[in-house]
Amino acid sequence: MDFGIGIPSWINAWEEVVAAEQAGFTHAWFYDSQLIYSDVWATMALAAHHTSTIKLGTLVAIPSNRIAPVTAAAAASINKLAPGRVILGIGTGYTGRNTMGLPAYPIARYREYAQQLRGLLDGDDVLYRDEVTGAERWIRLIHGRHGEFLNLEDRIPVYIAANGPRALEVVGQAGDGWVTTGMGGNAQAGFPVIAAAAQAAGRSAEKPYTVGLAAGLVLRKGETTESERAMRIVGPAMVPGIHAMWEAAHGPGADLGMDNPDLAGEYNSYIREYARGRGTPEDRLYLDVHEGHMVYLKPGEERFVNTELMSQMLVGTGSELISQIEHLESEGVDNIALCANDPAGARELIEDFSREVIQPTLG
Amino acid sequence: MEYGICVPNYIDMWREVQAAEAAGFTHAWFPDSQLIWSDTYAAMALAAERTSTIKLGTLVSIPSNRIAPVTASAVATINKLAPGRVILSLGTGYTGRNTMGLPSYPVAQFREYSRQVRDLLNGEDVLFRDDVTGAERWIRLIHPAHEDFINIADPIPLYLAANGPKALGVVGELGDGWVTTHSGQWVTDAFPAIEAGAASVGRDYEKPYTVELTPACVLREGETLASERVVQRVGPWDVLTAHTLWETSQGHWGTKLPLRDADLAASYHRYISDYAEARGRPTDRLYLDVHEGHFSFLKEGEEQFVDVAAMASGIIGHPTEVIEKIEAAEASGVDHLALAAHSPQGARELIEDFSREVIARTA
Repeated sequence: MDFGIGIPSWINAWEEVVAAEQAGFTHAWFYDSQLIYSDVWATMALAAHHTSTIKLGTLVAIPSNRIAPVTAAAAASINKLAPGRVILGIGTGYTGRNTMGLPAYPIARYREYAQQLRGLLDGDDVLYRDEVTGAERWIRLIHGRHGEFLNLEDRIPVYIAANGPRALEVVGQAGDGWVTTGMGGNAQAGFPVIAAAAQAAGRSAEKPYTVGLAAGLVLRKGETTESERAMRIVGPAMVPGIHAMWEAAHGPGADLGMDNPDLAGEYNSYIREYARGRGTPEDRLYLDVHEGHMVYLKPGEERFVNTELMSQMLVGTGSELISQIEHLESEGVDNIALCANDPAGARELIEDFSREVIQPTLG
Repeated sequence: MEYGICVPNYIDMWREVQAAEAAGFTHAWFPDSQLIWSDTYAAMALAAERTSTIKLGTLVSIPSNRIAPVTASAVATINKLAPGRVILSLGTGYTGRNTMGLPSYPVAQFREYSRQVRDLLNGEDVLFRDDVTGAERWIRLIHPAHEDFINIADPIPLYLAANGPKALGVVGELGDGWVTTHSGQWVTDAFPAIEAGAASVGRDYEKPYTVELTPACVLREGETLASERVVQRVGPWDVLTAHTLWETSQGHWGTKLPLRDADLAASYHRYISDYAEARGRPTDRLYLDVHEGHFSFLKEGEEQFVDVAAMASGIIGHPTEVIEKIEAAEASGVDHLALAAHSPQGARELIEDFSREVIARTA
């Protein structure tokens, strides 16, 4: 199993990435969400500069944030600093678009964007459509082989985030790897869909390298999921599920299929009161919903953290986690991306997982 | 007069930025052109981390490359590393769009984008239109006060690049500064259009801080404009005239500027057609070949388009001539010369020569 740390891009995350590299983590993953985090490429540039072996990937870059050639050039810029250590993960924009009150990026365009990135990173000419004029033009990374700017020599894999069936097909059609959320069974359910789409597209039906983004915590002696530490470090990774339920029932457009009207209604009452207290107009409650997303719990949000559900995540004692991870591995997960919430939380995760899980399984 | 250095973004540009800081330059400028250079904000992040006083600005960032909140968040990310040292300049995309065979960004949208970025950086709610769905949503930078992500407490001035009359009006309406590639009387004559723009929105007019982007080279004893070193250093800038003429005459969708020299345009077209044919490149995308080396290096055979006489209009000459030119620029209303260098080595030479022969003597 490869271990990664999932980072809500804070600009100085390189300090924690250095610690993760030293602790035996193989990957660091950076979220792209413009209203709530630092710029993902700026954050990765510093991480690339300060590390030497750990792989650095976006998890995930959102197509509608930057036109395809900007994203390709940015990944290839980082690959100049960290040759062969860069992975470009893309997704349809849960936080990147939901925080703006918008639905996920449409699948047909997602596929096209992924294929454009692959083509550009391979140094190929790609037919590109300009949003401003509607014109279609052939483009390429013109200085792809020029020494100072980009590195296309060391291949940059494109990983596709997918949970629904149509997005899973894109993994088969265009992906070099798969990023998924949720635990237990997700991977096994997804592989046949991916394989069928790959085969139909004339690509290898071999299982893709699979990254599972997971909330995690090593519980200390006597500690339970009810602890202050669990609430602080794991809580922020749990409530986005509730945010998604709110989006589906009360948001202006997003629907990830997280359907729980009762819980959504309860959260709606909570967020209305929260917004009232802050003077946020009612037509933009999504901005308040996603405040703290994956980073901290808003005052009063603790009650939406389901500690029972938490124990189905990678939260447990060292030996419990090792057997859980062995099971995930047997299901086809190759890489666990552990959600870090902030610099202090990341340090705890890195140290504890290294000592209790990574080091013991290496031996 | 203040001096900045402007180099085509290569990811390790921070080395030259450090040298410029040590040599008395006040600013370093980072262009944004995705098909030919490294990612702007990745390069700026490294420079921000490794300098302490020099100001860091985009020159210029292109609206159609990233949605407004991504640009706002990226520049606010750099401002976290370099508090109060960041400037955001926006332009309509000479290289950023022409390299893709596209016209520059429309002025009405430029105004809208500039206003959105400015308001987001002021911590305000902004009505944002999503290109994917056409939906309009209120957005804001949700975590402005969180310690890890962005800094909008230290103001980030907004400079606008403008050469045409409509864009000059936008400078007056919204800009904290003005970036131009013109010089001399043209600059002086442009201020009324900026003032009119300010008046059109009832804004108090004050002459904007004016940045002139210019080629620069301090001639050494015995050198002339035609000397090999000088042609090497300034040539990549000088042939931009030929690129622009080609765009006007042949790049059907490119910049619509008055065609000043039909013969030169035709001659460049013959050259680039041969160049493309020799490399097996299709004729429907000659703009990609035209802009190969754009402000970075001369393509094979491109030396013939370097117009030595035209080079005299830049900040190029022996030290006393350079100082006279600077005095003339100052008299025309220019506050800042952004000196263009096209390579790391060229930048080093320019920094050293200019510091010794000009900054030290005029300080």
